[in-house]
Amino acid sequence: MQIKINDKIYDSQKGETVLDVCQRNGIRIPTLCNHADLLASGGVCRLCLIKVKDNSQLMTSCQLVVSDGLEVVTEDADIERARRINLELLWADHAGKCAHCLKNGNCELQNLAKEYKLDVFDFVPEIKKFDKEQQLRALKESLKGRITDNGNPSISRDNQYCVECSRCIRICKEVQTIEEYSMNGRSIHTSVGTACNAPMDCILCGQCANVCPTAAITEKNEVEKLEELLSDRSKIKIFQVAPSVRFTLGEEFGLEPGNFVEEKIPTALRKVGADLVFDTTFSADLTIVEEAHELIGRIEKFLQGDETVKFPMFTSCCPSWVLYVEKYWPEYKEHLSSAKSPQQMLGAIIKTYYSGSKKIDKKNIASISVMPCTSKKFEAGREEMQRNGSKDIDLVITTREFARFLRKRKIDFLKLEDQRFDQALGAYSGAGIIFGSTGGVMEAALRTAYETLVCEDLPSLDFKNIRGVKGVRVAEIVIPKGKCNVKEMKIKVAVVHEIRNAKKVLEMMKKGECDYHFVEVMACPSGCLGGGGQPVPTNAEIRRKRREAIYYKDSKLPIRKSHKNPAVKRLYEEFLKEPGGEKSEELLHTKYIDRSSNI
Amino acid sequence: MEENQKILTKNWGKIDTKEITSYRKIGGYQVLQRVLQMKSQDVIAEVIKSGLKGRGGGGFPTGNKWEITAASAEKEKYFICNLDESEPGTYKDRLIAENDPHQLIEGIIIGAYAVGANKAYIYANGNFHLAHFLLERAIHQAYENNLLGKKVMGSDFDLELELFIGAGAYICGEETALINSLEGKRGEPRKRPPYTSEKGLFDKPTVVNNTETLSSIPWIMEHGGTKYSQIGGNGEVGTKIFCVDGIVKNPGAYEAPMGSSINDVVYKYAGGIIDGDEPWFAQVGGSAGVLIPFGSFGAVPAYPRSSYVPMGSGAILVVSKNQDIKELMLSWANFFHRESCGQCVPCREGTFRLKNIIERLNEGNFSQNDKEDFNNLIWTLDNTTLCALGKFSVIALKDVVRYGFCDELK
Repeated sequence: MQIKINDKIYDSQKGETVLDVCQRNGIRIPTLCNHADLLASGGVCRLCLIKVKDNSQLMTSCQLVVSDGLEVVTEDADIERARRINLELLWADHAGKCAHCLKNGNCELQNLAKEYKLDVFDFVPEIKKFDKEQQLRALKESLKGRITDNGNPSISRDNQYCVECSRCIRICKEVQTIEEYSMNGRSIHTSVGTACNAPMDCILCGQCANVCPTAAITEKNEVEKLEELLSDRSKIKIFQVAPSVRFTLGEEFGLEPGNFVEEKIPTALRKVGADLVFDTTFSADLTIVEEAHELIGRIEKFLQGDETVKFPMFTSCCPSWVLYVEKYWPEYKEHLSSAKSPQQMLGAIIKTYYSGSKKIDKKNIASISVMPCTSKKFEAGREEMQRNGSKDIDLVITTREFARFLRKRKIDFLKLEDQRFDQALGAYSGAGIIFGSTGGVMEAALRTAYETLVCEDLPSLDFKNIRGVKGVRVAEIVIPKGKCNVKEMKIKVAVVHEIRNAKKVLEMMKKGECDYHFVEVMACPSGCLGGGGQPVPTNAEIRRKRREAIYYKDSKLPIRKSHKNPAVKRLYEEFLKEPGGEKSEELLHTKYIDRSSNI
Repeated sequence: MEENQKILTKNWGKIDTKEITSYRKIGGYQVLQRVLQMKSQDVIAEVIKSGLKGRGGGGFPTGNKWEITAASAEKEKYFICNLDESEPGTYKDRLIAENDPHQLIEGIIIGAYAVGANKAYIYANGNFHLAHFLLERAIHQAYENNLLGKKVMGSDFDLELELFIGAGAYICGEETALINSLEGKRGEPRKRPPYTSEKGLFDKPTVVNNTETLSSIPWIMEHGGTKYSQIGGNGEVGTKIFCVDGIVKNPGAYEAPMGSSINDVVYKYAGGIIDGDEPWFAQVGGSAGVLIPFGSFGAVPAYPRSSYVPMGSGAILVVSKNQDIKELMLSWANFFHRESCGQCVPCREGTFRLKNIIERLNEGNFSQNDKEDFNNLIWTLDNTTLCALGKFSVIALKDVVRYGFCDELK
């Protein structure tokens, strides 16, 4: 179907909106409530206004579906006036709050204000012109109804920055099905909030922070805490960095999505005071060895006729997913693999094995992780992740906070020299690196489980049918007799991302229709590379670039199987002895809690 | 023009509103019995013939509205009576529910039968406590008398009627917001299309009719559409309740034929202007109504909204020459600011800033900058809001500017 925009002809597909066509063709239309990851809004920001040709009525392009022969105009005096006044109305609410804002420089509202050159705040008379009483009244009015929520370890909210675009409401409902947010109040006091403005009690995935155009919802900013830890001279600062961070951090410094900046990260961290920089990718390999061992254990038990074995087994590296099961489906918590996530495994190893071998008191270690995830902040604080009152991970910062911190320290990230992670707990395989993408954990686990079961090399390491971005991807893996002479069988696996898709699998289980043996779930779109702590903006295209970079890196690595990682092998020889052994059980495995009464 | 023809108010004060027997004694529900033996399309044809238009202010022909919904192939349909009346100065619907609840219920049953809905709701404003009590009781008695429930009056028609009490938000009088509220959601208007006749309550075809509209139905079915269409004049048919307030001798609600001019209503019904006072202008249709200068009181309120004096809700506020216009402006601005649902930017932020500017106008701090903003805001509210509330909020203010009623805005 062809439509005319500003007298030029453009191709469009049925069901598309005019805004979609304009965005694809680079025709600039401002919007605050529309987002590529979401269904159309109710048309609330009133910035994307356009006109149908020869019709004076202003219409929202995000709601106007294309039709044959449609002709629209995207620029004229009325349109300009409407956009400007509406923007000014929003901006008036924000005036003067930018300097200390976390989103300063990366705020959609601020960018629009710049684009439309709003610098006078017409609707708010200059405070100097007020008398004392009027000043007080204006101040009260602007603070009335302000709600901040810092009641959880992961996400902060401050509704004075909120532009009521409803993106967070929609992503929470459409993608994650949690429905934590809704609109509260009315008229000027309308604001996004939780029911009765209670502290947030969700799965803390942080997707709301990813789509928020302003700083109304952000990760819990712990840069100051990081600075405090770094300035503590009595402590040895040990960092770990998640696999996906090295593919996304570059975006914060102006690089294209998917740029691999691994070698700059250790340099940057050492520059700001890190004593040791370990790699979570290493412990991702460790997780795989443990998790594959657990899966094989369940399969063997099942083959021996044990009917109580819980199938499917769920991955447990995504803390939001774990929290979702604990809160909404506690009856299935035994299905979660007991293996800890890579972050917590490395945390435990650092404060036992590493501190022991180096004879350091673990009280003198500050263990800090850089993660793509807001939920990891919560995970680090879980009771099971502490030993004698000391947390395995002392602080988690997200990719965004890390970048913010580096900017604050005036570190020219892109000009840093290349360095390597500390190899003691830093070597990794391709299986560890793909943890950053949806399907990665499954693929890594299959590589190890197959070879451990069959005692033969896999014919091909690429499980292409579980890659991609379909919500639920299913595959059957044939396990042959092989050298170890196991019983021939088929393992059915599923890879799931976004909670809405996970919910489908759980509902299948409830109905008894689920015959998978192993299911990987990541709460965020495309897995950790689309995590709630990753650089913004994000959309399917950006995530595709990140994902391709991750799989490319895997394909180029000399070692691509977790159980072949020499550092992992050494750790078992020197300390853990065997997967699923006594030491492993104590340090690398965990239990889950029924949290359904909390909701 | 039959001046004293009473349709809506004919039973007011004459019946015991608490007892169904009282309404039946004067012939109530007899026409329903007859309607239930008619084909539904014949009922609709009769209403179309009557020329009755939606009394909520939209003025959409009621019969045609029913026809669209009745034609839908969807089995499940809903019928809603809109009793969320919250326009300042308008109280006709509340009075109808309080003075003759059964006539309203009879109208609802006829309407539901005509469109083929088996579930009907009365969406009542949360502040109408007496109406709640009376309607609840009337519905209960109607069930007991087999006027509601299974096989109404022995026919094959089943109807459940439920009284739903809203929270009293102005915006919930808008039909899509009303439906959202009825569904348990936030009272925010929906985008149209789809229209409620295709996708309304629970995404099923739905009719939403004003209380006054439905109360006219039993009379129309009793006396015929033709007879109804002969009442009125000046191109409008039927009768209408006008709520007259301001500097008139007898403020109150009066049933008058459609086509009556402002003068007719003020002088023939409300007793004329208070002695010693002089009208400046009248506002017709509530806070969202236009201003008509005294010199034009001969004008006739009519549907649709594009007419010189749009009927709106039918409220007539006669304003005195001695009135401080700034005070009145603040009262309008306050109302729309308070009642904005807060969904879209221009209405949420615009009504607030407009209120601030008018506050400054009242305090004598009105600057040149404020004047520019005032005009910009009025334009934005008029042209860019999601639903009609933004447009409504500036109708009167626009007229203040147009007629030069406020010196500072000249």
